[in-house]
Amino acid sequence: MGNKVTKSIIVILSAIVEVLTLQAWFICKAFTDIFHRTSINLALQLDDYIHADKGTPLLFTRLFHNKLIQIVFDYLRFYLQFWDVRFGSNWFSLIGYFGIFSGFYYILANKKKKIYHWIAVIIILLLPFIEIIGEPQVNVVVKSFYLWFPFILFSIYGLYQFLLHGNRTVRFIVVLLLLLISFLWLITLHNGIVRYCIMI
Amino acid sequence: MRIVLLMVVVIVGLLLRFIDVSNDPPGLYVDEVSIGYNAYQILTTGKDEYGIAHPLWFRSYGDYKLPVYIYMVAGSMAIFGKTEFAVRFPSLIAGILTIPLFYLFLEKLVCLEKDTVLRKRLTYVPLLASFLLAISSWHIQFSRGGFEITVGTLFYLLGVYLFIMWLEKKKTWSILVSVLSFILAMYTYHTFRILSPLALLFIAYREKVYKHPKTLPAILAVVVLCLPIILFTLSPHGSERFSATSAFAQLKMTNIWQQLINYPLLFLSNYLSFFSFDFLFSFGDGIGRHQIPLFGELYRWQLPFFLAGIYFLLRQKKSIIKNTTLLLFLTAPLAGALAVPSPHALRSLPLVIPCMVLIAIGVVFIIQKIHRFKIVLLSLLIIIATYEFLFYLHFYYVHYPQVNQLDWGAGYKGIVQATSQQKSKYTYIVVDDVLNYAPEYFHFYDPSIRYMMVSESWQKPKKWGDAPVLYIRPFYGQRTGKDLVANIYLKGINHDIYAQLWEIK
Repeated sequence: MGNKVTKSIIVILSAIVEVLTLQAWFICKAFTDIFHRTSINLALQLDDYIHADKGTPLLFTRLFHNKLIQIVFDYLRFYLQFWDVRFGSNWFSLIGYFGIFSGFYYILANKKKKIYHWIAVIIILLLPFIEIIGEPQVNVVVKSFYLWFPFILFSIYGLYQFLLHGNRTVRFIVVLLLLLISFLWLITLHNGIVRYCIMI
Repeated sequence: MRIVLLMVVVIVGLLLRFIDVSNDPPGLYVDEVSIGYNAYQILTTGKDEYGIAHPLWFRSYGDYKLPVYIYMVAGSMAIFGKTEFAVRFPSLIAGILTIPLFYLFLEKLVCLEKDTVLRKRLTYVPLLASFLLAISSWHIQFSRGGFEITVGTLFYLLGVYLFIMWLEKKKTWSILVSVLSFILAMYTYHTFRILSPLALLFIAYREKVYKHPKTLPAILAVVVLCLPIILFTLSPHGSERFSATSAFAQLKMTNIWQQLINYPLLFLSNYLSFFSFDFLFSFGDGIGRHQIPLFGELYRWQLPFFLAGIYFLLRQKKSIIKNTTLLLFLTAPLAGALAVPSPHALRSLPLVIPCMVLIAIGVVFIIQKIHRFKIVLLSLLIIIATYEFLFYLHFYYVHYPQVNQLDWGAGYKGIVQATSQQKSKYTYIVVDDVLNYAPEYFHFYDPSIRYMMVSESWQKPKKWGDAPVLYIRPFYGQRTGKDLVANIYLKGINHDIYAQLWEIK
């Protein structure tokens, strides 16, 4: 069961399921505001917080409610949305999401890391910033080229690595089970994308 | 030295849970009031609010409450009287006791670790993890309110700890008390009606009790102790809670094939949501009673260490700390995933335990991995962590009492206090039923007030003649008037009016 052909077949099947997630990218006009820097009005947010600070020493107000801290918190919130399991399982499929984290794990665990490992990790980690900082009105189909495609490639790498290591029979079963769940998920729980997508 | 440090950690945890607990959270929310009223009734009359003597299940607002917390509050009311503090006291104490227990539990796990290198590396994890629990916003939040889950989590952790102790020393008392703790947790909060039986089944499987005929009396005793809650769960009253919050009921599927596919997927989707970064690190579950706005369940600075903790644990081959932590981590959201909304910070409070272990392991392992600029990086970490913690405290004590007071039933206490002052002047007191929780608050704060709930369109009946009526209603926009008796204001600088008392002639 652990031969190269079986492994390749499973990875190809996983890739097919992951490709099916493209339908979500094609029916969306844009991502919702929860990813975009432009969705926040910093001055208004700070006004709101400072308003409740009446009676608090000015030092504390300045320390806790300033632009720098607010920007850091907001950007972190946007960034984490991309790595959220609810986003990943709908936009890259459950198996795709699993593959992405598996990819990170095996690259980190690899004692003979090559330069291209680091490049892949850095690219994947930085990609969401294009969406956060960039133009939210760019069509999601276009975005799929620079957001979906690299993530899926990385995910397939992660799945392949997962199948290469450890108890292979158990891992085959895990991946097959995830594959089945991902497929059913895409059919039945597809409305999970609503939170992230403005439909065409 | 370790004992001194542990005592410091416990004192920090104690201060963070005790300071100003009667006023912040700002007011008792309706479940706390209901618990308080039932506990007071039990203490003074031996009966609940419906006149049932020493009940095992307390009927309350469309569902039934489990007994342990209510009886504990009755005990605390015997000492502190019928106060807000008394309602929150058992949860507070449980929250504080969880800290040293957590330390002992981790200390035991580290002791049982067979890999000596790993054991050495983990030396500081118990102390660090218990410190992280002491300052955890997730745990502080539920320790400071009258939440049954905090007591349930203490019993659950005690059960796990004593079971680990049993694995080490094979002392009969430890396994007996462990099983009893799991059973007590079942009678404390609904989450443990799922988690505790799973833990008991795990113990039975792990210890292969089916191979030892001598354990039969013990198994029978467990069944007898669990029987009331099993029967209750299967009864219409017991399943009311499940029906009201069930994730599956919302789908309204009648086709068995649809159910077979959709129910497990929905469960999985809910289950995974408890591990969402949005829930854990940036937004929480969005319910005002469960968190401070702008905060997740864990601090943001903990994110890299949380991931590192998972990574380092997965790298270990055979390790008791790995198996126990991952088991607790993966099972904690099981009960919460059956219900909506998901994720839910209250129902998943037991998840805070493995999360703290993961973060502590992450911190320790990363520090051990760093060789250059160790002091600089450590100082930077301490500065960032301290800043975020102070930021949390600022929000907790300054913003939360203003922004989230409505989540805690603010205004209702003011209504009762104002009504108490006026009640002697009026023949009738009527309350607009938009203020639907008012009866519970009247019962708790002043049971002598006689009132009627009326609809929004209520008009004074002609048969009441000229009898003076006090009409209590929400604020509908009219700030003044000659018949206005009192405005009930919310805390904060806006002087928002929550409700008004009007005289009807």
